[in-house]
Amino acid sequence: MSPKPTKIFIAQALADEPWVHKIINRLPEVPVSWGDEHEFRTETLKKAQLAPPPEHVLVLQKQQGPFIRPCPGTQNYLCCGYRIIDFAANCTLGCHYCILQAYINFPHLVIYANLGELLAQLQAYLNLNANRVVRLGTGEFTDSLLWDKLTDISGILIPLVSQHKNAILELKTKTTHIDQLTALPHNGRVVIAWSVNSKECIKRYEEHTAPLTDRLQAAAVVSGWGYRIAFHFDPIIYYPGWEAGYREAVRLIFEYIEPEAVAWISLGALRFMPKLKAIIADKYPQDNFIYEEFITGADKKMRYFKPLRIKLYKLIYQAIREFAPEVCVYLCMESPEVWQAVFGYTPAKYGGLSKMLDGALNGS
Amino acid sequence: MASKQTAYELTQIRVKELASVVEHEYRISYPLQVPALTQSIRELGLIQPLLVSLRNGSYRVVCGHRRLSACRELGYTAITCLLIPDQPPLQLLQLAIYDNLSTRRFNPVEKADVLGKLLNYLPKEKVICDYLPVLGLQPHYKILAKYLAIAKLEEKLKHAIISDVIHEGIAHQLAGWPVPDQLLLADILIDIPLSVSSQQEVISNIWEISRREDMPVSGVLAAGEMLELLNNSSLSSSQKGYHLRHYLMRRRYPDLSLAEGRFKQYLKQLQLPQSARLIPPACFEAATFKLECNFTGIGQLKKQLSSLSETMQNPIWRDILKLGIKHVPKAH
Repeated sequence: MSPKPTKIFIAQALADEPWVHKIINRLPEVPVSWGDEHEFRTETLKKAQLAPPPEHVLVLQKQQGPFIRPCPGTQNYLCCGYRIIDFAANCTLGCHYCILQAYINFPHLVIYANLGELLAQLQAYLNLNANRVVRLGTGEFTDSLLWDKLTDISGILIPLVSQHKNAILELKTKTTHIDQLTALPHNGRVVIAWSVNSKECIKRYEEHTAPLTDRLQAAAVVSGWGYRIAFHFDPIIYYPGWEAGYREAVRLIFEYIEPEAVAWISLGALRFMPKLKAIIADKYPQDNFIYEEFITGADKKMRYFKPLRIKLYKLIYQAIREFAPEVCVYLCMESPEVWQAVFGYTPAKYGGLSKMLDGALNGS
Repeated sequence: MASKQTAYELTQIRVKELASVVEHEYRISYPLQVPALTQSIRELGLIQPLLVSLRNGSYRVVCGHRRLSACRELGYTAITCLLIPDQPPLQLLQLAIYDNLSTRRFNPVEKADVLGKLLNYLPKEKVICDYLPVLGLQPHYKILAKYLAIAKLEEKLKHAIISDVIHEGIAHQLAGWPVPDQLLLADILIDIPLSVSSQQEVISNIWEISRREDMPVSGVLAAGEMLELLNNSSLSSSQKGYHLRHYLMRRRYPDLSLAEGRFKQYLKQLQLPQSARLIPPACFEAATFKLECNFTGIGQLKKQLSSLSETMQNPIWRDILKLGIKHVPKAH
C-alpha cells in the first residue's frame, strides 16, 4: 500500500477551485494548510537539506507551465511521440529505480489543480489536432491511477478525450485502482496500461505496488469493460535468472488477458540519469542492480551495454510472440540498430513509431 | 548589545594535574604532535598559555592540546594556563572551536571530530544549520553524514587524508568497509599516487566489483592478477597505477572491455594505412564509426584513398561493424 498523505498544502490562489474542495473533502482526516506555493516550496527544499522529509504532503498548486506537453523523450533514440497531460508530479509507490528521484527535486506529491485551465488547454489541443491521431497520457511524471480515488482524474479526462475520434488516452499504472473506470464512456479510445516486471523485480524493487497477478486481474476486469489494454515491460532489469522471470511474466499476462485485447506492449531496458545511481545506492544500499555493466548512452543516460539490451529484448519478444503472434510490440527509447537486431526491422518500415502505434489501435 | 567576556586567571598548573583529566572532551587538533610547535617551544618557550577550566577539582584543557603534548615531550613539569570559570560542556566546546578557528582552518578529520562532538550536545538540525557553515561546509544532512563517516575511519586512513594522500571527498566511502579492507586499500593508495578522479574510479570500481560479483572487498583486492601487479617490483608507482586502473576497468566492464579488445585485434588485421585512424562509437553505442585520414596534398590524398579502398575488400570490416550488437565471447 502506498503511504497516504499526512498533510495537505494548498496554494491560496486555488481557493475558488471546486476540484480542490472535492479532493480535500475526500481526505477529511488529513490536516490542510493554505499559503503561498513559492514560500512553501522554498521552505520545503530548505527543510529537505536538514533531513529526508518525514511526512507525505499532498500539494495542490497551479500548473505554471503548459498542461499539454510532448513526452521529454531522449536524444538519439526513437520516441513513441505521445503527449503528456501534466496534471501531477511525483509518486509514492517507492520503486527503487524510479527516475523521478533524480528528475524532480521536490519531495512531495503535487497535483496541479487549476482544472479549468487543464480542460481548456486539452480541449484546445484536441480541436487543433482533430484531423490527426494524437496519443495522450498522464503516466510520465506520476502513476496515472494512484490518486484516482482522490482526484477522479480519469473520470474527468476519459469522457472528454473519448469524444474525439482521433484521440487516444493511455493511463499507465502499477496499481489496481480501477473501480472508477467501470461506467465511463471510453468509446474504445482509452488504453489502460500496466507497467509490468518479473515477480522477482516487483518484490525487490517496487515496494508499494500491486503484485503482478493483481495487476493482471485488474487488467482482465478492465478489458471486460471494453477498454484496450497495454503492458510496459519497463524497466527491464538484468539479474541472474532474468530469463525465467520475464518468461513467466509474459506467460502470466496471456493467462489473464486475450492477445486481441492488447493494444501494444513496450519493452524498455533500465536506463537512468547518472545522478540516480548515487541516490539509489544511498536510499537502497542492499540493491545490486545499479552495479551491472552500464555504459553512457548517446543521450548521456546510463544503459546496459547494447548486446545485453538486445539479448533482453529478444528473449521477451520471443516469449510474447509464442502467445501473441500479432500484438504490436515496440521498444521504448531505443536506437534503430537495436530495433533491427531485435525485430529485423525499424519503425521506418511503418512510417515511424508514432504511426506504428496509431495503426496498432486501429488493428492495422 | 552588552559585550560578553570570559573572566580568567593566569596561573601555573602542574602537567601531572592536567594529565589526569579527560583530555579528549574538547580536543580538536589532529594530529596532536606537531614537530614545528615542539621545536618552537623548545627554542622560545611557551608563548601562549593553555585555556583550562576547573570542574569538580579536575582541570579540563579547553584549548592548547598540542601545546600540552609538546610541553610534555619537552619535560615541562608546570605550564602557564588561563584558568576560566567552569561552564557547561557545550560552551567550553564552542570556546575550543572558535579559538582554533581564529588562527587556522580545520582539516577534514578535525571537522569530522568537531561535528561528532557537537552532536553530543545539539540536535542534528542545529549542527547542520549553524556549524557546517562555520566549518566552511554546505548545510546539508548528507555533508554531515560524510564527515561523520570520516570520523569512523581507521587512523591510517585519517593520516592519509590529512597528508593529502586520499581525498576527503572519497575517503568517507570507505567507512562502510571492513577495517582490514580499509587498511589494505590505504596501503595501495599510499603506495600508488593517483589523482583524485583516479582514486574515485579505483575505489568505486573495487566496491562495485565486490557488489556485482557478490564477494567481499577483500576478495577483489586479493585476486591473483591484482596481487601480482601490486607486488611487481619492476613496475614504478605510476606504472602500477596505470595497470591497476586498467585491470579494475576490465573487471568492472567485462563485456565492453572484450569488445574494445576485439576491436583492437580487428584493427591490426585490417591494416589501415598508417595515417588513417578508425574510431569506434563511444561504448559501441551509436552506429557511426569515424575514419580520420591525414594528408598534405592531392597526390597523397589519392594514395590514401586508394589504400583505404583496398582495405574495403577485407571481410573483417563486417565484424568490426557488428561490434556492439553481439556479445564478444570470452577467450578460453
